[in-house]
Amino acid sequence: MWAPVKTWIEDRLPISAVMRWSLEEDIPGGSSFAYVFGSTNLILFLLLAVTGVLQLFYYVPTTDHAYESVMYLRLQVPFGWLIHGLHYWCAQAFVVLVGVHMAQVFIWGAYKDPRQVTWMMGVILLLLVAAFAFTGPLLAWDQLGYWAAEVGTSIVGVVPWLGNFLQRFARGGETMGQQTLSRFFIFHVAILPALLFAFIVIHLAAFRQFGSVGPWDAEKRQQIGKFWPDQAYKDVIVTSFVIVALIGLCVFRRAPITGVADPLGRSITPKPAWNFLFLYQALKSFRGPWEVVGTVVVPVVLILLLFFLPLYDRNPERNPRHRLIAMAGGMALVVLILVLTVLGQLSQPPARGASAGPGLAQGTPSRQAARAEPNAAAEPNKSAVAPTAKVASARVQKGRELYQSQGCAACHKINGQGGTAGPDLSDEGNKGRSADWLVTQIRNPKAHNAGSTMPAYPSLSQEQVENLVAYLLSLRAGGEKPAAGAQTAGEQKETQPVTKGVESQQLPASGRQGPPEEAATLIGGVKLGHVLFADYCSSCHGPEGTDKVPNPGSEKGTVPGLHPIDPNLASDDPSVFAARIDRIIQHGSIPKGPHPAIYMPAYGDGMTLTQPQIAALEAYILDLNGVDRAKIIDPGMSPGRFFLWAMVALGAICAMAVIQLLLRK
Amino acid sequence: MGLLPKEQPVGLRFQFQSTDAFIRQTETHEAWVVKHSDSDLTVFSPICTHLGCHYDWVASANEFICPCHNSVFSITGKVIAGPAPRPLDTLPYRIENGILYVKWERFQAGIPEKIVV
Repeated sequence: MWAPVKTWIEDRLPISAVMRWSLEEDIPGGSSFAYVFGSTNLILFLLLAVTGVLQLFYYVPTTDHAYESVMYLRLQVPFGWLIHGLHYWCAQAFVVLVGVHMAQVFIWGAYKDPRQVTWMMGVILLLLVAAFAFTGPLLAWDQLGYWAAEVGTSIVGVVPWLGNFLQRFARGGETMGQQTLSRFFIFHVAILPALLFAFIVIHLAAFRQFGSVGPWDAEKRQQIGKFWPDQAYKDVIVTSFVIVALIGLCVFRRAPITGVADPLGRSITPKPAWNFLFLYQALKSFRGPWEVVGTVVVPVVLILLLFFLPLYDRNPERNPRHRLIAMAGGMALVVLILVLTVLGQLSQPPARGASAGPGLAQGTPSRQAARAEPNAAAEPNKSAVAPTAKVASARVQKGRELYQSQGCAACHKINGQGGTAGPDLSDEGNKGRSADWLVTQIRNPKAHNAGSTMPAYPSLSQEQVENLVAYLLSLRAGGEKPAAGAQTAGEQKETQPVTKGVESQQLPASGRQGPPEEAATLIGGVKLGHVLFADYCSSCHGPEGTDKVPNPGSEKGTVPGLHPIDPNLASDDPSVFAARIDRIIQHGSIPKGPHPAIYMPAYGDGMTLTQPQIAALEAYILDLNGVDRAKIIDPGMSPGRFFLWAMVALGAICAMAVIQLLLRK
Repeated sequence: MGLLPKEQPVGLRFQFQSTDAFIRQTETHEAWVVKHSDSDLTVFSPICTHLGCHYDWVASANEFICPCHNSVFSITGKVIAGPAPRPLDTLPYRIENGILYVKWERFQAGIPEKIVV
């Protein structure tokens, strides 16, 4: 029944002829595991294409939805973790295996006459793979992708003459934004795949024109093997191993989650993806006018050297032992790239405070230094206030509240209440310190004492600092009344209007108020959250949220620990957990009790932290409590079980291929 | 202006309406402000002149340091070390009735000249 159908099709479509052309290939010297990389790369390309198309069913290429659409796919779509993970890990493996394939061709001398065009098409494919690796990460619109693209397109901008145009072309304008995402998207999913497919076809056609080069030993070349089935079985075995490894990576080492792109985020050290680290590191060797050498000249020269290799290396000798100069050159290039990659991976920004005075450890986060980010805004629609005596009095009251909300009492004591880590402030108004001195002390404690352990307070606006200083200057042993002649911060500047800026948000009168905000729906990065926690939260909640910091006047007497967190806030459902703590971080809260010394500032309402930063904090707090913010909600099948099934299936295919090979021997 | 500390960089965060092609949205930006007197200050763009990263003020070192490629700037914006091709970019500003108004501009990164983009 099948035969007539087959004949009917064959008469109209030469399937058998095409299959014969594809499979009936002589391999001088017989098949070898050294020849598998071309086929493996082809399979990886197909896998990338399939998983890429599947991702497009869910991906939304806009700056306000790209990240969330990717996270939705990864966490809530059945097998979405596998689709995204395979695409991510395949892309990494593709770069490695393309490199290995080129190295094998180089060692075997397979680029020499008459296979020059095959090599040249291969170099173009390498460039296309690099372009994929550059455009892909931005599509997730996460921190790493955003900053890699920001720096990458800036590098393009320094190309002589064309730089400005190329940068504008890549970004779709002067700055990163929706147009950049759209352009990277269309390159990644349409233009580059079309070019890659076309050049793969040309590469394969050029390859089949002259076939495999075989061993360099003429004697060994006498034996002729066949692509089908000998080489094909070896290809199947190696490719199966690679795919099992990739699935294993998807299951046991997920693609990183760094949080949504945050153009204001300075807590992240932008570094390119690992496959561009050697360029990043090399760039550091060139300064000033020579920088263009590192960014343009060296890469272009390397590419041209690779591309024209068959034209200037015309020595017909293929045995590596007789091509010492070529082998040394190739080896030097590989070693250089590997060393630069490792150095780039290990390199860190200069230890902040490396040139600092005593008392500051190398690498201390910079937010421990003066990094005031008052909410004051240079906006025309904000009013200015000229303090009066009444205002100054109100400032003292507000300053007292601020003293409590900022957790000053955790370290400082007033009238016998509070911590002892810092100086007693009960008589601060009599110490003869000016308002300016106190302002500087709050904004930048290290300006007065480089060894000070007091954190800077980046969340305070100018108005808040004024209030706090007014309160501190009102403090007298035995009472808080302002002394005659003592100027509060407000009074001192009475004749000078001060910027009010964005209205500082009042803390809720009691308890938690307000709904969860945007951060509750964003999946933040735990690593970034850890950094932010150390900067903003640990002074009251302790390192890793475990300390019982005293909170005099509160019902419980201590600041609530976050590890473990209040069971009423915790939940196994990361969305619920995040929403519960988001309300507190966004809007602040006041602990129960007669006069709590410390209460929670409103980090979101006060714009102290951006929404992506709050999302990162929430991810970290969940992580402290054993809840993964990026928990896979609907895996389709348990990843571990899927890995076992994949091992069984691909193992069976491997076993069949091995048996066939053994039988043929 | 208020109580901005003298000769201490302060990061001011502000919002403005941006236009990205046809998309209009509210964006948050920052500027580093160093006050010399009540009428004289320097406003720095927060973007490193090298390749567009955001640098940070490290008070203990008294320097602005960019984490991307280790460019280091003094409090006056002068390049002290690293690959930055020019000093930190200053932004135009004016002060009216004690309120600071900053004109947000971006400049081409990676070149010695300060060119508005």
